[in-house]
Amino acid sequence: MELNRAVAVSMAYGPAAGLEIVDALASEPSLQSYHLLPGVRGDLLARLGRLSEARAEFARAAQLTRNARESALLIERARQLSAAGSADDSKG
Amino acid sequence: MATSDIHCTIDAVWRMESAKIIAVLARIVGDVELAEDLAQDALVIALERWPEAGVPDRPGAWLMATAKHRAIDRVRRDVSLERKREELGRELEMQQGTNGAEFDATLDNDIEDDLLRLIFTACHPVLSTEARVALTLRLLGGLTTGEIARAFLVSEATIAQRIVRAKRTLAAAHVPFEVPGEADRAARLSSVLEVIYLIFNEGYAATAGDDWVRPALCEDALRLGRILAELVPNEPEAHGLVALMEIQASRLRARVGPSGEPILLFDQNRARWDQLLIRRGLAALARAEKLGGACGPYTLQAAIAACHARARTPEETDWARIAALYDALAQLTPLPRRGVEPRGRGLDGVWPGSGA
Repeated sequence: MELNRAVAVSMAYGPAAGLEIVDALASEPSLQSYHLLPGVRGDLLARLGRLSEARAEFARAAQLTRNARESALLIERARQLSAAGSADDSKG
Repeated sequence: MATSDIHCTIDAVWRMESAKIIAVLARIVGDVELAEDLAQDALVIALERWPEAGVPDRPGAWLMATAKHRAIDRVRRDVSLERKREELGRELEMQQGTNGAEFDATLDNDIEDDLLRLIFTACHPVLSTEARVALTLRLLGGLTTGEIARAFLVSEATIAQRIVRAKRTLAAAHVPFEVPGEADRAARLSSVLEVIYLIFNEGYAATAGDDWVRPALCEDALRLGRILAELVPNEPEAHGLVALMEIQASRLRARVGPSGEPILLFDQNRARWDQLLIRRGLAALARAEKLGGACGPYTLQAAIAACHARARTPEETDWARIAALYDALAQLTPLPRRGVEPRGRGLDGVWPGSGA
């Protein structure tokens, strides 16, 4: 619930506000292996332009999910960010 | 009619009628396991007779009558059920009639109550959540052990054992076959709602396996939810749950791409959302709110789903309202579980779309 709230807040009031909620959740022990947490965190980081952190989060989420389709989607998002990240790097 | 057609017919009738039959029998014999065995006997008789004699005009009624006769025979015969027989005897005396027709009529009037008793029994807190889910799908959803096993990606033997154990647990704990009293009704209803929503979620965003969605499980859960809401029409959260499932199910077609890949909320073609299900969902939501349930957890989640359903484009979404609804939801959730997502709530929710 809190995770969805974070996303809703980020849509209404910007990704930084959402990230605050997510970071507060990240310390929750019961959520350590919950794949949607890094998934959402990755998304918020990407929207804030923190691309390499975002990529790492998507990769972690892909490892945590037990669903093959979900995993493929998360890997694809990490891959897209690699491409975007290297484009940024080349711009210097 | 070819034998295979008749078997299809029997399957379909069974899927629709088995819950009622088991519910009525459970009340007669006072034991869920025996009730299911006797109901199965009636199914076997149908499988033997219908291919030769043809399918009766009212196959559901035929199955019910056959099963009831077997149950009543069993009660009359079985000495160990003496006590139950006395109860039946008393009931018949109270009805001031001892002929079979009046007896049947008495039973028919109570089918809805029996169904409700069966739902509460299958979702009894003495059982583990896994056991409640399996037993509910089996007894109320009319699914075979194999179907449940495939849906949850475990072996048929595991599910069979889970169901047998669950029935034994109910018997050992002397769980009465009844609708809970006022004192624990709220807690017991919330267990029922939880089981139905778990079934829905496993269909909506599978926690494991190769397929992301399993629409058949969603349909089973929706069917159970609609039945429940009719049986307890004054419970706002029952309507709230139906609303939530209807609106989420409206997106099923749009959530999966041509090769089975998930499509997130922002990227979905909203023209593919099922408007009939959305209308049904919004109507159920209105009903829940009218009954004073606006602050219940399922009704709140349905209200969030409704915000998405009403937005023609992702940009039109009323995010401030959604954030406020999540705030209200966070207030409700008991502290130990705060922040913990319900199992199986997958990538949909409000996770923003992939990429720009």
